[in-house]
Amino acid sequence: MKNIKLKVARVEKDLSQEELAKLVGVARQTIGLIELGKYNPSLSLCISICKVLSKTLDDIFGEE
Amino acid sequence: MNLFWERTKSADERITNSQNIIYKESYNVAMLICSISIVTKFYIYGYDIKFIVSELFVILIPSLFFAVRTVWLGLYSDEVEIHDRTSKVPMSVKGIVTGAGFGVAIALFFGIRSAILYASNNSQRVWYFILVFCVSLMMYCPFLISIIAIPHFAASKVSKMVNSKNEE
Repeated sequence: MKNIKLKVARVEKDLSQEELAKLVGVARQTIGLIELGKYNPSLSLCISICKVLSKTLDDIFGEE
Repeated sequence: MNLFWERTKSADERITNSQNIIYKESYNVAMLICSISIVTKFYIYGYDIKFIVSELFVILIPSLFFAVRTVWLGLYSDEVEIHDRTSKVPMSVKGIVTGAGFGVAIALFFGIRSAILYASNNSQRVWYFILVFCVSLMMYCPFLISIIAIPHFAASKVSKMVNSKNEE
């Protein structure tokens, strides 16, 4: 299932996928696949993404 | 994306990740054993490739499989991206420099060897060295650079194509 919340949070911070990937320390493709729902990130990656986007885990990865 | 059509059964991810680490270590152990076997066979039977064909198969075919799978899953371009982000020198430049470096090393070896074996005086030695070094450099550098750079660029391109298909 697509992760729309992640995309919205990223756009709110005015970050491209590449910029977010650079800040988090992963490849751009990884961010793209997480947003498409084709890759399940580890907890530590989820936490890193949330820290960069200044959101909580529930805000981005919680159930809709 | 399972190549061997294994039934996907529910599994603890910690166990799966730990098993993957063990598989990687097993692969490294197998490569090490093959390398030791090659050295031992060369020592016992002499430098003949027919004695080490099975070891070469064991080393080359899984490595080739790994390379092809990495490209096919779109991982290669991501690895290059992460590498280029953290390194001062891009991977493509490193490949070209490595190829050129090996070319120079081989040219030096042949130049020095020709100068020592075939020259009879100092001026001849210098001339033979320069001649053989330059010709070997012209032959080996482009060849080695292309066998490193061309697969790298081709793999990057295919990997990027796979990635863009995945994002559709």
